[in-house]
This record gives sequence, structure tokens and C-alpha cells, in this order.
Amino acid sequence: MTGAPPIVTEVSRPWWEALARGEVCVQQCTACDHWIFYPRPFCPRCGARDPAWRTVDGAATLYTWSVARVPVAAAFAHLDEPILAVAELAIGIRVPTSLCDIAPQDVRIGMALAPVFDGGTYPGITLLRYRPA
Amino acid sequence: MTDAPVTRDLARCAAIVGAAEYPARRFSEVPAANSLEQAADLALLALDDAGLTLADVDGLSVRGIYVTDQFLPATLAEYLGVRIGYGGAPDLGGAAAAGMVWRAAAAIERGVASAIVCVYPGNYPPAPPPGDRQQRSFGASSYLPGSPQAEFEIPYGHLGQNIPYAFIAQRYAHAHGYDPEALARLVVHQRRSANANPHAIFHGEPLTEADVLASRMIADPLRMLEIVRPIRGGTAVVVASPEVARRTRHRPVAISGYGEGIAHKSPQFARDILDPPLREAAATAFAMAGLTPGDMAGAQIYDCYTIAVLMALEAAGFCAPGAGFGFLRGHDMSFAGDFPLNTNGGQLGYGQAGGAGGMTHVIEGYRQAAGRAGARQIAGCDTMFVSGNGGIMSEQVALVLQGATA
Ligand SMILES: [Zn+2]
Repeated sequence: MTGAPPIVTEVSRPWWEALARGEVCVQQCTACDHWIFYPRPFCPRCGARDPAWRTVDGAATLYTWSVARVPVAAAFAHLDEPILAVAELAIGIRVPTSLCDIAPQDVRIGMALAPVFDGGTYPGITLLRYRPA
Repeated sequence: MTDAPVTRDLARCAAIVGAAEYPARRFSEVPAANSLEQAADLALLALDDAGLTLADVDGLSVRGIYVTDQFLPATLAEYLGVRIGYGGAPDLGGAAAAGMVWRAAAAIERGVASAIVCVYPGNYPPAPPPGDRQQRSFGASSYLPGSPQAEFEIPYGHLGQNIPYAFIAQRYAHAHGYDPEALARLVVHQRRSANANPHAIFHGEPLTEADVLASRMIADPLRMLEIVRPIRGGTAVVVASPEVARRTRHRPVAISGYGEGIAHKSPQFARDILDPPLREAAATAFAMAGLTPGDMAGAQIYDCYTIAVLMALEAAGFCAPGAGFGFLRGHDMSFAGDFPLNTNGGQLGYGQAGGAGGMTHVIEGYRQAAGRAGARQIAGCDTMFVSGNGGIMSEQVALVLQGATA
């Protein structure tokens, strides 16, 4: 087994469908405007049901990162010291991701990142990865 | 630290009255035990240490039994042959042991039970059956349908403990700067205490700061010697009412204050990655005890990683947020120092038994406040702070312990 593909749920399907189109869609609460990630059938700030899906700018800044110098699990041993990261979008949500096209010594928290719609890692899935903007 | 001894009248306060802890052993030294047999053995050893017997037991709290996924207290009660009024199995990772102890204290203080054995055997879970491998091979990260981790973390390789603790450390460095030498100093001071503890896995193996700084990078900025060493072990304590405590054989250690905080599962989704829930847990515990961090004769702080100790010292109020590196550089943290910290060597020096439940910190806090720590005893120790830390600073528990006048 190489990697571990996302186990998609009904509630979050629009997130993955948007990524496949090259877009980032995020839930927003219709009662209090809170941006919600990961997807849920309610708003974790005010409890209102049925948040709306909105297309947003996928650009982000680097919130935090590390390098897996030792494989995190046997299923990920094929990756050579991947740079794992958390990216923060302008709307304030943070997404787990990994970085490409950059070496560890060049990584800086706060750096501008551009989305990479990666359809090559898992069949039928587009991951939201990032590279330097 | 404090000048005045602060002992505690036992009235209305549950106490730890006995403990059992296997010496730390390398995996190659001893085979894996039957975890149910081991839990019973540890319970009997802890009762014997207290001068109590199975006939006194009316409560059990237990984790780390791998013969079943459920009914843990009932399984152990049946095996021990006891009928109990309290059964617990708190799901708090590395805060489980401290969580067991405060729940036992609260139950005793409300009259539900009078002698509760809290057991954490030292086995690792057996290998998953072949068909189950994919779902279970990611350790504490859940790859089951419906798990947010299975959908948004694991597919990118966000797995295990090293990476998310490194995420916190990097963010801490961004906010406050980073001082690898100060963290190496902490490891060396704990190793000095381990060298005064013949049961520690690293007893007889001195260490220098240069050794720590030269050890292999595992997940930037975390190095090998800043990360716990897994061992075989096993632990138990007995928590008792004042009435039961008065007929035990050692100085009882009152559980004067306790608090718990749960903030998130994954720091990727923490509201504030630099604000661990130990902040609220410790504030609750100190307020309940009527004491402050400055009153503590020492601390046993959950040390899965050096960064976890640094941030726990800040969150518990031993120093201000962002001032942790100065604190580490300003104190001697060995058992003989001016801020004794993880005096049995901690998990970095004694080792971390299976389950990682944090009972070694509870037991060392008990030993110090009971005056039973032998060659590493803190002189005149009447107070001790203990913390547990589960997940990725996700779930944290604080205990304030005090040597008690019976
Ligand atoms: Zn809302």
C-alpha cells in the first residue's frame, strides 16, 4: 500500500469536487459568517445548521511545517523526507498539506504559498498541496 | 523553591497511599507479558506496598489491558475477584494516569468508594490481525471512515506524534525564538537524575548537551534524544480515603488539587497551537489546593518531547509564556537542583512504558512527597506538581500533591 487516500464523507464531498476542478471551496456559516474547516453539517462557533459552500482564494501563508526525516509509517516510506505543513488561507482556516518545489532550508513560516492541485498522488482524488508563491 | 513546608491535613481529601513500578527494561531483555496478568500483579504489589489487601479494594481504574477492547474494569474486577463500587478507564492518552487519580479522588471524596487501585500495565498493543492492518497501522491517528484525520491529515502524511509536536515547536520558535542548547540542558539534567535511579533505562549512561545536539534529526527541529525512549514497564497506585489512609504503612500523599483540559485532537486544528489546555487544568488544580507554582518543591512534567516540557512549564505558571528557555537556562533541574524536575529521570531518562499513560510521573510525585525517593529524594519535600499530557498537547491533567499529616 502506497500512502493512504482520503476516506471521503458525504458532508465533505464538495471540498474534493472543487479541488478536482482546480478550485478551493470552503463552508461558511449562514448565521455568523464563520469559515468552517474541516467540513461539518453545522457551525462549530454558533451551532447553526447547513453552512453554505463558497469558492475562495486558495492562496495561503505558511503557518507551520516540519520534515519527516524518518518515515511517518510504512505506507509513506516511499516519500523522501517530505516537507509536511499547515497552510493558513486569507479567510483564516488552516489546512494540513505538504510542500513541493522547495528545499527545507528555504522554508519560512509566514511565506506566501500558491495552491497545487495534485491529481497524481491518489487515483480519482485531487490533494491540495502548496508551493512557494 | 518554597521555604515553609506545606503539609496537608488529610480531612476530606483522598490520598495516594502506595505504588508499584516495574524497573524499566529493554524489549530484548523481557518478553511481552499477558497484560491482564500483569495488571493483577501490579495491583497486588501496590496494595502490598500500602499495607492493604484485596479485601480493602472497592474501586478499579485501568487501561492498557489488551485482552479486550472494552469492559476493562469488569474484566480486571472479575480476574482479581473483587466486587467494586467504582470502575474507570479514562481515555486520555498520556494524561490517563493523572486522569485516573483525580477521578478516583473525586469519587472517594463523594463517598462512592474508599480504596481505588489505578493500574497501567506496560505492554504495547499486540500486532493487528492482517486484514486490519491498514486501519490500525497508524497508531494514534485514526484511519477509520468518518475520522477527520482519515480524510484531511493522513493522506498528506500527517501521522504519528513526531510531526505534530514538531509543528508546535516550529510555531513556538516563530513566536519566541528557539534555543536548542536550553532543551539539551533539560535532557542532560534529567539524565543526571536517571543516573541516581537504578531502575531507569539510561542508568549508568551519562550524557552531554553535545550528545543531544548531535543526535539524529527526526522531525525538524526535534532530535532523537529529545524524544522518549519506549521500554517495557508497568505501574499502579492506590488512592484511598482518609480513613483507609490512616491504617496504611507510609506517609500518605494528599491529592490536594486537580484539573483537566481538553482543547483539540490535532494541533493542526487547535484554536491556538501555543495555548495548551494545561493552562486551565493547572489553574484549577492550584486554586483547589490553595497553593501556587512557587509553593512546589518540584515537578513531574509529562516529557514525551522536550518542547512539551517547555510549554507545560509556561502553561502551569512556573514561568511566563515565552519565558521557558530562560527558565531552563536559569535552573538546575536535576533531583539535587533548585528546581527538581522529573526526578526519576522522566520518560526521557527512565523510559516510557507501553500505553504512555504517564503513571511514572504520578508515582515519582508520590514517592517524593512521601519521602520515599531514596538516593534522589528532594530534602524536606512536602509538595509536588504532576502533569499528564495526552495526544498532541490535546488533553492535559494537573495534580497538586502534598505530603499529609495523618
Ligand atoms: Zn456560526
